[in-house]
Amino acid sequence: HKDLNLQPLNANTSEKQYSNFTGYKQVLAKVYGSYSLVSSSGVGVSDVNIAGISDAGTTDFIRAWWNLQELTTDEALCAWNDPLLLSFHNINWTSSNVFINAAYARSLYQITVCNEFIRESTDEKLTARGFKENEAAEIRHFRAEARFLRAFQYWVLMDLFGNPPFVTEADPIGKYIPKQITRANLFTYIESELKAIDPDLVAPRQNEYARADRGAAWALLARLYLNAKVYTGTDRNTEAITWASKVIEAGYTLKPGYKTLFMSDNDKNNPEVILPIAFDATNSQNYGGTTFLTCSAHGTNPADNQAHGIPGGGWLGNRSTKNLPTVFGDYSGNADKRALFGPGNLEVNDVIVFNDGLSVYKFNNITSGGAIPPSPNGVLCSIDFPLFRLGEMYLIYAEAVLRGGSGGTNARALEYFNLLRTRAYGNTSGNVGAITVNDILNERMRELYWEGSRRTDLIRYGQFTGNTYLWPWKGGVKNGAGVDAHFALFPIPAAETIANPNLKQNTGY
Amino acid sequence: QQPSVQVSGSVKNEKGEPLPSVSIKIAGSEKGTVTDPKGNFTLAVADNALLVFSYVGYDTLQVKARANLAITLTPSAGALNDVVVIGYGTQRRKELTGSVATVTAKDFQQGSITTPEQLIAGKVAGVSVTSNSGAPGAGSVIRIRGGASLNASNDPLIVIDGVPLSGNNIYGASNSLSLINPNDIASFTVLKDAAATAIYGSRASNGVIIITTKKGTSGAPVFNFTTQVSAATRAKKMDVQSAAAFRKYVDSLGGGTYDNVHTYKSLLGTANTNWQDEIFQTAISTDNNLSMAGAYKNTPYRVSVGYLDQQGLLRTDHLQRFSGGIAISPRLLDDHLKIDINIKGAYNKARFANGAAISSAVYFDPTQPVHATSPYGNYFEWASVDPGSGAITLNKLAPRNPVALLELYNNTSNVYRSYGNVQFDYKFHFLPELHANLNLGYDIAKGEGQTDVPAFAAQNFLDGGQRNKYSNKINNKVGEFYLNYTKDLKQIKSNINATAGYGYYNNLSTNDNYPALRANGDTIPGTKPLFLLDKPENTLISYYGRLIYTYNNKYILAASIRTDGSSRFSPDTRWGTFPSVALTWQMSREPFLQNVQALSDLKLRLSYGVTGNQDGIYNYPYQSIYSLSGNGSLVQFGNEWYSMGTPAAYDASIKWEQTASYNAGIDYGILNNRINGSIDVYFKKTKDLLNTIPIPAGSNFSSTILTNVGNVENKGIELAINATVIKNSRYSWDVSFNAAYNENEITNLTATKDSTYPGTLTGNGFIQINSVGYQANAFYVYHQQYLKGRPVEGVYADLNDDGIINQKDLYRYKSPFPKFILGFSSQFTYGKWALSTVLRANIGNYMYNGITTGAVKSNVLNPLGYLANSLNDIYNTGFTNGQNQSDYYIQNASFLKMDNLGLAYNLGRIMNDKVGLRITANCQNVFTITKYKGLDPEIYGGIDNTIYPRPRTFVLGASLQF
Amino acid sequence: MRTITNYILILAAAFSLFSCKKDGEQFNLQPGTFTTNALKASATTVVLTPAKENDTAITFQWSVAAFGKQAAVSYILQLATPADTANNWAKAKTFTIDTKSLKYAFIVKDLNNLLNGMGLTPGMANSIAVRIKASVNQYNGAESTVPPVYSNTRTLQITSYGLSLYVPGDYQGWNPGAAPQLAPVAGRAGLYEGYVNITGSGVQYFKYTNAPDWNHTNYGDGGSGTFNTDGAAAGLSVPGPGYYYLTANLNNNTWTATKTTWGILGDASPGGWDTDTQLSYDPTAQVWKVTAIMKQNGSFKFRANNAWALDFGIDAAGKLQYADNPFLGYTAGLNNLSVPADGNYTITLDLHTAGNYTYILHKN
Ligand SMILES: [Ca+2]
Ligand SMILES: [Ca+2]
Repeated sequence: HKDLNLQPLNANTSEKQYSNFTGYKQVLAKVYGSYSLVSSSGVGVSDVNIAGISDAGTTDFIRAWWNLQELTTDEALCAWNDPLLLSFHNINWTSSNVFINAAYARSLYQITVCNEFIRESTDEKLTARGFKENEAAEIRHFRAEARFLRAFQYWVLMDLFGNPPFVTEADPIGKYIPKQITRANLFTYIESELKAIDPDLVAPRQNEYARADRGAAWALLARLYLNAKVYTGTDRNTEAITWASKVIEAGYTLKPGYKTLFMSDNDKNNPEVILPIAFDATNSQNYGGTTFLTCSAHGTNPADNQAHGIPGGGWLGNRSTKNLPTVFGDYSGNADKRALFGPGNLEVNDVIVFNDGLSVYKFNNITSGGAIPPSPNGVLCSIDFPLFRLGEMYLIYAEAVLRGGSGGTNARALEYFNLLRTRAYGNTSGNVGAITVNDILNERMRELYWEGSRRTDLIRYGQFTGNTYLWPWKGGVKNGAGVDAHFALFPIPAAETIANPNLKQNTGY
Repeated sequence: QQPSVQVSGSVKNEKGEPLPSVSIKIAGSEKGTVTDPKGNFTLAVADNALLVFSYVGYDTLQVKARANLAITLTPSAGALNDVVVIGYGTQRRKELTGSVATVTAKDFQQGSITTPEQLIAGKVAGVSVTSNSGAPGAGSVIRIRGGASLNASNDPLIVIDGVPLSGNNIYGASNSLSLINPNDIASFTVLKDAAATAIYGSRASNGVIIITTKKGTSGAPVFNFTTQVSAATRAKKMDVQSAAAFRKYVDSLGGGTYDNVHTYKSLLGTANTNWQDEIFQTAISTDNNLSMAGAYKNTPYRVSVGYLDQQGLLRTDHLQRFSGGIAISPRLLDDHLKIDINIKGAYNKARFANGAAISSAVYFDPTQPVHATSPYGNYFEWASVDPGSGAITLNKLAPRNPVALLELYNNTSNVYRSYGNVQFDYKFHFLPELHANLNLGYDIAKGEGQTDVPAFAAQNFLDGGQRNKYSNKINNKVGEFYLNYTKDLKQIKSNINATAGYGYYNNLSTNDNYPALRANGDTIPGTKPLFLLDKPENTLISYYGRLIYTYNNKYILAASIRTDGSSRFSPDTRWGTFPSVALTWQMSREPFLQNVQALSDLKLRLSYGVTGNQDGIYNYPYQSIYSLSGNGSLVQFGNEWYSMGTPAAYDASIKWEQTASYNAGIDYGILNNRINGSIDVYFKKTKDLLNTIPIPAGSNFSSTILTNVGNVENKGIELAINATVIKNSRYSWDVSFNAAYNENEITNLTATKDSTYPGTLTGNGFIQINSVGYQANAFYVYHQQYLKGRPVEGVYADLNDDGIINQKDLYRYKSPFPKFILGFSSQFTYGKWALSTVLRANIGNYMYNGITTGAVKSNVLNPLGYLANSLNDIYNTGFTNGQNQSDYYIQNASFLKMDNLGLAYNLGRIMNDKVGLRITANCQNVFTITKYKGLDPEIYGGIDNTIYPRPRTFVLGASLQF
Repeated sequence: MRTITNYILILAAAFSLFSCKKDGEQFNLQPGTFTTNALKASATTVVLTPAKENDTAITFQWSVAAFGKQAAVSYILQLATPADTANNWAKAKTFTIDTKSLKYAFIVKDLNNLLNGMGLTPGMANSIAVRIKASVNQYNGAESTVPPVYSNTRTLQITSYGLSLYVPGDYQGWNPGAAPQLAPVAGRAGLYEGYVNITGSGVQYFKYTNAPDWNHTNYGDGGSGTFNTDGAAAGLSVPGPGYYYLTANLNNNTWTATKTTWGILGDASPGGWDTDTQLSYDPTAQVWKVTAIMKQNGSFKFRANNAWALDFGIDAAGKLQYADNPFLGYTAGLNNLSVPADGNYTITLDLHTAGNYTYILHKN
């Protein structure tokens, strides 16, 4: 009955997909596209269908991750009157919060795609499929990149959830029920993966734009070690210095003009970025990503929106608590030019009034030359998101030195610190003569705000939970209130503890 | 004046007893008389007149008038001798082994019925027909004995003249059945239990509806012309705040600011607009049908044409249908070869209104005018004006003007469909007991359309309007061949009827892809499709056999088996076998019941069978497939953009869903079948449900997967009663009543038994859950706490008593599916007048009043720079924020509806006997009695989010026969 | 015929079924009530001492407030001064209690911190009123429209102890009784800061103690800027002498020491906004001083180490307040200082009393 062997017209069976080099590269595109786009079928459809989420844009990686990393901190507040988002500011979320599930499911989706690619690109399979050595060598790079992205997503899960499920290419596709891994064991796994792939990755700055190279793996290692105490209970500052130094010495340089790091042509002439997530209003459309970061930070002022390249945008969503602008002291942007704020009241009297809280105009969809790039609707943006960049590496180096790691010097730490301040001020007037560990936290806020690191930083400094450090509306109170320590980890989504009986919920949920 | 003679006589029954009250009429006139208590009569008639003798339960007799007539009436076998279509053949009703119900044209719902399934709403026990909306041509959800499945299709298989419909979506037709003219339909046969349906095997789990279209008759051509004009009006309005009430509300509460500068109050307008009045209209429709039926020599034929012009209740909605049909049934080779040819075709031309206007009319600020000077086509839209430059910027987050949504949106479609078949039935010359039957069918359609919105319209302002095309084709082929052998073996008092056959079914769609265009014709970047078309296709191949063995006309044993192979499953799992067995006992033919006078018929039926289901799922769920991403979803590497090779989730071992059904039934007739009906009890157990379940993240390329997991049980009782309450020469009153009770329970949901698994959230907004031990789609909500009779915002019962309210306090409350479905039809005739009605009731069904959940203060006074109206329920709750998970919004939606009230006047033969004329007047959707607080308690699935209202329709019609 | 009539009756009865059917139970809340004397305290008089800072100071217990069937009731413990109870407990300190446990036990140091935060004078008995507020909240934690209910009020006599850290060290002979102090930061429980002039040469060791003796908690070096409270732990240290800004955060057990020199900067000062005019330290007067020509038309600020990391502006009352501070963060809305007229001024900055920093502008 051959009549019953039907196949879709516009799709390949896996055998056909992996029969040639182009096919491999297309799947590699999905490996990356899993964190840059919501799906392969446009902006309205999502790879991860979560009960309770109808807006595909909210399942985008950057958007979902950013919500958890920033809305829970002093850097950002969202005015959308959604109890689930409000619970981020109030730090009283529950395991049924679907936005938490969005970040969780998105990360595991990308891991699953990576696993499939890794499974299909072993040397045995490449040989069996008759690839010539030059193509096979390329595909080996692809495979190492897939392992890198999997390690990156496991880092995200380890940081957010502590003890996520664990699946690798050794596990089947189907109805498999993954086991849970402990945070410490996952740390070891990520560490070993990043080191193991080093020989197979392309040398730093030598890969195609927006693809991972050794520099990206080193940068992730540096980030991993800086936070090792949180993840494993043991400081690994010496290793943080080692790997941050390797990145710094690989030839990256700061991009002149801090604000151009976040403009729509930041894929061009960008010597600082180690690995971006690329967006494009025409080709890589997404209502998450930098479109979300830009549009949700803008109000309804047509002139402002036009000036920032989003004439159709302005979603009245995210802005800052006063702790963000005031960390600059003078937040006019005249001195420290990283202070990229728009209108609004410094004080947030009402969380759901967009004008309460200074606007953050850091992500800006015009080109560095001042032109508005093409956009089909004046909403979609072309800014690439800097997932890893040199500026962060400088601060990791400095912090690890001050925290007592060896292999670095105080003088070098101060030098790197002042390099960032020199770019920020445009001259040396902002340079400092001495720095403390606390200075690094504040400098990280000034340098890296809204780039998704704040929650992790506050946790590393012991300031996220408890009442040591308060900010407006922390704990649901206008002046800030202490919150319980268990909120330093997010809960495994309730839907997931139902679907996967192997998972044990985090303490306190 | 013809000479008149006096005739007299007597009427007796088959036993020689006199029959009183027998109606005697002179054919072609209203003149007549009745027999006296001794069965005698006298009547003055014209010479050679024909007398018609009729009496309930007896065959009508025509006799030429003469003196001293001694008439003996024979009891009619009535409906029991009817021939009923079953799968691949026919059976006499009294010999049926399965649970089968038939509705013929005379019992159809009356009035303006534009889509076929509505003809039998409320007419068959255990069959519910729920229209999706009041839009022209809208489809319906048909359920037979509840639904067997959770995620695969629960739709019954529909077979028209032997051609199973695929259910493929035709672009530009809201419902593919709307291309079938109800006027061409002669009867519906509903197969309910496995004994009846198992011959359809894998597609029969949800029951089978066999539609037979009207065929040719004998003799000279008879023309039939029917015409109808109808006016559809709104039966009920959404209960929104009036402009005055709204103004008062905002005045009292809107003193605050929405942006720290402007007050809510300052947004109020000065108009008084009832937005619902602005978007709805009284819709006028006409429906005209002409048919010609007769026979040319040995060849019966019927030709029909129809034209329907229907306006929608929602302005700008409009449907026109041109339909035609030909049926020819030549009989060749001394009647050894019967050929049936059916060809039907229809062309629908439609304009679809923008349905978004309906909810917008609920929420739009009633103090704003319809029209105002604006860059948006001079409609009022929420926008801000720069005080300096005067520049106007649209508020993109605000709802849009409902009237502009309608008037600036032009979605028109043209749809063509033709279906038909040719069936050859050959009776072998050398062995007349053997038939060979070949049936070749097709169903082709083409739909195309375009949506235009001008660039200035607020509804598509960011995109610069739209000019979007859509089109597709469907091409379904059916080939079936079977042999039937029927033989009476008198010496052993037996009859055997054996069938064996083969079937091939192929469903192919060709769906075109288009880029999204702006109004000026520019392609919106990123929307150019990667492929110009797609061709989803599935094929089913079947072998089947059936044996019916009858012993002594009293005991009937039937068994069938079918093996189906589906392209949707892998070679390892694609074949499924579906057997059935049934036993019928004609009890009333047993000697011990033969003397019970009142009992004219009693029959016991028992059956068991297994059926399958594979419809309603994706075509290739078992294959590991990679598809390429479209433009707009590309990935940048270097300076190049790459299409993503994307793996789809799959389950390599996916297979048939299977339902085992048990049925016990009694068919009864009393008082010469003046009262007749049936009672059925059934139990259906479905396993390996095709169920979309959440799977652990990391195990597949989706958060959910379609796989075979879970069990569902349905059990129920059905009751049907048909009765002639009165029948005499002047009056007759026929009633029929049907009732069905169905209970649905999920008995397993997970691959591994896990008592902690609360279930799978379902439904629009995920307010429902499928849980083991409960009905499918039970509402899953918080138990609202009340204070002084009012619900308290956000305060719910702590059901697990742990001091906090969280998802562990959600509970399963009621279900959208009725426990009881009742139907009642009545027809009363008096002389030339006939009064008929149909009532329906659902009991025990609940509804989530989703639209009311929006009636909260934070929607009216929101920070987004516009005001939104709300339902008056805002005064009942006083809620500030939405409380979507409160059981406050789960309301009892049991209802009693009068679907139809009709009056007909039969003028009889007029114009020198050349023309028969009947005039009808109908009201549809006459009234609804319910406690439900929303617009309409009848929404399939139990979630009420602005349904297009079902109109109340007044219909005038005439039918002419000549 | 009878049969038919019967069926019609059944039909009618079935239709009427749903018109009178009750749909489950409606849960009705009652106004909440506490029983009389629902709140009990384990003591009425409490004397807090640093020696027992980790012991339980007092335990409160109460009975359930009835609000009706299956209501989730939240309990909040409120503490207020007698003056505040008359003011609707507007400034009461509150503790949200885990919903199902109907008791709360205070640890000495927490209660002491709390009382200090309420502005009570340490070392003497103060009246404190305590009561329980019971409320039925919304599922998201927000207040509901159900009126809360309060228990009886208990008035306790509590004596708190003062809070300072003492900085004994090599430079002053390791004598806590005579050591300079770090003051608690107002409104930031557990945070201390102050300035100490550390003399000597080479690495200088010192410790923090939470009482003017060695008999209570001593804070030594735990590495990486953290404390070790083991009495045998090594001292905290700075690499050499200098005028140090010292901090302690007892919540996360960290400390910092920043060597400072002070200057003034601003267009009212001789160096304008580009060059700091350095102050010099007078160890006898324990103040920083400079004499300089100042301009009326302009303003200036005090800042340490020629950087905008640690600097002072003034608040509306003219009092010195940190603008930038690496330990406490930035304070917005401060003003710069200014002089009333052009001229020669002696400017004095006095940081020697922790938590109370002053300056003098003297026109010569
Ligand atoms: Ca880009
Ligand atoms: Ca609970």
